[in-house]
Amino acid sequence: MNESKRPASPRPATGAKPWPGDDFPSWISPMLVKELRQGVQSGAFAWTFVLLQVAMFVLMTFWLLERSTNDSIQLNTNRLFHGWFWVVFGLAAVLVLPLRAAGSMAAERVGNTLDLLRLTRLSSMQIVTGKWLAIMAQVLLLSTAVLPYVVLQYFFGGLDIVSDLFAFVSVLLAASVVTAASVSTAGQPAWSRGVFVVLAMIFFGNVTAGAVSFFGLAATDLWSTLPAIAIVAGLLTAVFLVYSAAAIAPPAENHSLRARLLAVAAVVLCLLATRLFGPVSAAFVITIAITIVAGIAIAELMQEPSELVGLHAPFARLGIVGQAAAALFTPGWATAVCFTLAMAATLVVGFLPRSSGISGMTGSRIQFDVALAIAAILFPLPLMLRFPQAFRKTVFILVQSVSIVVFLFLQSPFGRSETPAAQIFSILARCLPLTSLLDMVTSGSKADRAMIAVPLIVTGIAIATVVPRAWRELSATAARVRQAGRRAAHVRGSRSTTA
Amino acid sequence: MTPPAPPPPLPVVAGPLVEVRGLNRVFGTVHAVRDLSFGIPRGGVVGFIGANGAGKTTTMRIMATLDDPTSGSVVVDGLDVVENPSEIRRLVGWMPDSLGTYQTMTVFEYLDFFARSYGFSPQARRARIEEVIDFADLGPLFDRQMSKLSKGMSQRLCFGRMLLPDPEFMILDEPAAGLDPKARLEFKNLVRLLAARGKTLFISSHILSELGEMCDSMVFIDSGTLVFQGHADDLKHAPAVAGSDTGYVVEVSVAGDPAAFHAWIEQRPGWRTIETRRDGGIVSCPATDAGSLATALRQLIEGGIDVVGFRRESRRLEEAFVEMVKQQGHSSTGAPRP
Repeated sequence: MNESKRPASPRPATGAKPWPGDDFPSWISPMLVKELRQGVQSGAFAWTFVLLQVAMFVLMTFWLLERSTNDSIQLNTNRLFHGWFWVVFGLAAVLVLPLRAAGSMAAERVGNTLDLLRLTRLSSMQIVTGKWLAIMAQVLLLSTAVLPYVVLQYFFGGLDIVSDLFAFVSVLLAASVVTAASVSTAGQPAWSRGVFVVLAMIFFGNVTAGAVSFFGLAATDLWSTLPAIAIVAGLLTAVFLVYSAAAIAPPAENHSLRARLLAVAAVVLCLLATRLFGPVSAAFVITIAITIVAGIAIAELMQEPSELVGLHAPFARLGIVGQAAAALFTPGWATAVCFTLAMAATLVVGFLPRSSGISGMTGSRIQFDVALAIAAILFPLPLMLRFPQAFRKTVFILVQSVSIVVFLFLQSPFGRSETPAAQIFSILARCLPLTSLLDMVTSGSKADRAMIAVPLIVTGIAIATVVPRAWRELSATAARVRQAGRRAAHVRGSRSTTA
Repeated sequence: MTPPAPPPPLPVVAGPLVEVRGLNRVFGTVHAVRDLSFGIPRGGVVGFIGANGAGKTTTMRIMATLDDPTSGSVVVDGLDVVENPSEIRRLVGWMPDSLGTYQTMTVFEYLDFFARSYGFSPQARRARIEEVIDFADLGPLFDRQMSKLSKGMSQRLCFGRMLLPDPEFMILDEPAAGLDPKARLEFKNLVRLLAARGKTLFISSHILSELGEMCDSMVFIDSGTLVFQGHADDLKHAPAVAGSDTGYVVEVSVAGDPAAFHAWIEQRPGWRTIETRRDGGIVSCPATDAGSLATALRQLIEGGIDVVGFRRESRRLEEAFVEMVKQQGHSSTGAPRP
């Protein structure tokens, strides 16, 4: 307290006792160190660990008893045990631990410690990645806790190493996605966190079913399926983490760049899917990747343009290429429109030469789906721009909800009837791109070019109404890039003069 | 509401470290900060005073890059806080009113985590943690869990945490709230030590007496608007403001019966008795500066009053603040507590 009367150091500098700060090496992320110190000590982890051990012990005891008493149904017993093994382990690894990430992040917000983290040298991405890594480390710790039961199973001949390994990896991948999604919900209202928990439970059910179903697959199918799942899970995890980081990043950070680069990666994945994977896996990858691109496009359309010159500085260094890149990769609805159209064009043109090779799809069908999906995303834009930014998400959801209601009405007996009123309603309803898309997807009918042209033309007209405004925004973006370039040149000039 | 007059320029030594220019922050329908402008000199300890809800925390969060202004700007060491958050975060230390602790961590783990987050190498980290532990007297608490720390101990720990990266400019939001007298005294000593090292501190409080002794200057805000900026002594000794019913407050002692003195006061326009005493009283006079104060004394003597004592009284900061708010016509949410 007093400089003249300094208390003795709490630990002798001579190193007689080991410095407690050496428990984790310096190269490990500080967030991971903190989360492990906190997380492993927390009651939630300890209870999950103990309950998992109890459940596994009970399960194993029943399995061994069943095996010893009834040799004739050994195969069924093995399958049943496997099913319950993965349900119990998956419950802990995919649901219980990952859902703690939301609570952990929310606690940082409520306790004002998130502000302290933001003021350190840690980037927003490092903060959220640290949270994610910590939960994944705990999931791995849990995995090691169930190893003795796996060894026991192997010893008694109830283990199919390949399928169990694939099931284990798929649980880890699912845990990764749910944890990242859980981190991203931390700043959301309580009701949306509740919705997320329900969705996570459904996802857990699917993953468990998927993990169990591996036992019926031949090894060759496993090798073709798992990479597709891994790539999709990686992409989804990255998207969730990028948006979690964006929520806590300062506005001077260009978080749109990361998100849009992920969308580019998803588009590239779509284009390469047929070459990388089998027909079933390719269809799965393409569906998820296009969903990711659509999700990112929607999120980016909600953004206001950034007026911060500093944010445009990296683009200024790239000259004319930078100007073009800024029109695609800086925050704002106008650049988001350009970006969305560019991605749509790439997908539509990219699928032209691939009319086969995808399970249940043709290249032209995917083109129509993509075109309609992009039209559905852009269609509400003119209406959204009439409202302040805070209401744009609501307007978007309202327009899409109306489209879904119209689609449901179209599927009703009235919509299917041949009356003139129903015919007129049917034509008008298909002006809405989402209604048209849903109709095309559910009917499974071959794409009717004339029917698809209607919503695309309507969307084109709607977008045309905001072109002047978008042009002004893009010009302002270009001006900011030039201004950033001039500022950088001025700084360089000042430095050389000083030198 | 009339907009406040532009603040008087600060006594600039080497240019202000922080410049707040026309700052506005709107949350929905609430205008938390309105056209706020002031400066913070380098190496100064500046108090930031206002009632609860006056906009102190919002302003400080914007300064620390934790919130964005609706309009206006904050420049720290020549850098705009919105444009250059990374650079600003290297200059700024932030201590929130809730302190920001992890209840399941020990004191050491807490400091070690933040030292790692600030990017210290292992050797530098150890040296810096030891230095901070010495400075903030945290040695006896080294292994203690944070949930078992008193308010004063937590405050010292968070002060230590803020010092880890050795920031030039420290923002402390209500740091002395809830502290006992001993802890408050320790905190004042820490502030003075840092000021002696040339650090700039910006400390908020709604309790004026907390800051009066430790700050070189004060910034008063009310309803998000600047009310006063300057030295505490200027405020305490400031003459009566225009339109107010008081001028300089003086303590007058007279020989003999004070009745004649009080009668003289009653007859003179601009003079008013505030407190009657056996040997005179405390009065306000229409003086606005030293010259007119001397004239007032001369008038008393020429009026036949046997003045044996004449001393200018300081107003209490709280009174000065309330007067200032009244004069500027703010709809104050409440005066700061003494």
